[in-house]
Amino acid sequence: MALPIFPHNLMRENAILFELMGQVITVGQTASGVMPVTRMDGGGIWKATLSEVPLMTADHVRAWRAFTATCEGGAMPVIVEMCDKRAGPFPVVNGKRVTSANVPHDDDTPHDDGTPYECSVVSAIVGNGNLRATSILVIPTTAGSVLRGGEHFSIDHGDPLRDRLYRIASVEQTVDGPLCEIRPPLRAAVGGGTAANFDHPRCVMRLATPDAMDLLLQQRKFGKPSASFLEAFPPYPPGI
Amino acid sequence: MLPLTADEISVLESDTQRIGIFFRMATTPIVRVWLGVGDIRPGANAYDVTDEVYSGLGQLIDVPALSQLINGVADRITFHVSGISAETMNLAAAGSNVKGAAVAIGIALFGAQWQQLGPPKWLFRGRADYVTVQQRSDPQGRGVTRVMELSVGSLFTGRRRRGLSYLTDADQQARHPGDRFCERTVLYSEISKVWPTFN
Repeated sequence: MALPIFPHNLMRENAILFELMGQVITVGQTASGVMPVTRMDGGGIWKATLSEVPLMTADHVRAWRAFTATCEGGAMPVIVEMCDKRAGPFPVVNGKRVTSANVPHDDDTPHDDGTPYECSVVSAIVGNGNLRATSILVIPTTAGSVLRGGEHFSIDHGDPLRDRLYRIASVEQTVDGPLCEIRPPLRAAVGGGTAANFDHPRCVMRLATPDAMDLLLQQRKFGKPSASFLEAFPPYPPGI
Repeated sequence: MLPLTADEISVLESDTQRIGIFFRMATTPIVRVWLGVGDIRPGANAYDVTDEVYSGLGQLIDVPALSQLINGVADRITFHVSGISAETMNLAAAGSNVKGAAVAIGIALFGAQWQQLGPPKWLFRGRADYVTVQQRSDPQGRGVTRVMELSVGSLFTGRRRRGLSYLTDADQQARHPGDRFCERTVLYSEISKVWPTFN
């Protein structure tokens, strides 16, 4: 069963946060001035906050309420896309970043509603990676795509993990291609040639708290709610 | 002595460590969880002959401080496990299958790139006793959290809450019926054994 996707194109947030959340403990400063820090989270878990999503029409409100009901207070995993066109490895053509590629029919006509076909701009593959690997080849095959560090991509690991989000920490150019340090560590082993999604990196998540999508309507018409999500892991409820 | 590689010793000596805490309970099927996020294959170790998967993320909320027998009084420790997943709730429901199961707690050390430096080192071995399920309401009214608590005793944990364990025949029979090891200890109650002086 396909997971529901947060309709970010319909409801564009005013502020977005996608960060890794970790568990760190410290015993405080020792007599020698050292402050030992210990991480026990194995690399961290993704959290996402979409702040102040403007709901200006009845369609917006209905879509928000429907998605809230679908999330089931956090019991239902959903797909949340990370919209990061500005920082992604998109090529520059004629001085302009190309962040989307809309293709019409061969006679240059769009669909009946005026929309063309949409396809990915950045094609990329990864090299072999073991479970929990933090160093992996990420090879963009689109001309002009350059990795610098700080980009996000996702890999579809298939059932049950599905889409998982990764952040590139550093890039080292090697003879085989860009060798990237990624965080978090790979959630599952991947084979060489697996596609890496830079256009619409996504992650399976669930509501952080049951009230994380509460909607406060003003004048019964408008609202600016926020939504918070945490990365979700299987096992999922039956039927998913 | 805990076998540690030079890399692991170096990590412990540094002021930043990356540690994975592993929990293994010998039920059917074996429960293998760790405190980190996602799955991990820590490799063959003292308890797992083959490379097995340890599940992560919220399965184990915390690991209490562990201590061994001191002056005849042994700790009974309680683990708090998330009750969200069906896996752990099934475990709670089948609580009678948990009693007596061998529990092991261990740690593994990781390098700066989260590469595992060695197999898990098992620091604590105990026996699972009973399982309880608690329901905690959020003080801000945002919902209810169901938590499973697992009580684990060590080798020296008796059924009594406190008190010393004696090497009398009555106590030994209660622990191991039919064992005659302490049968004659009463004969030594009137004897003071003086440690010899060697000149």
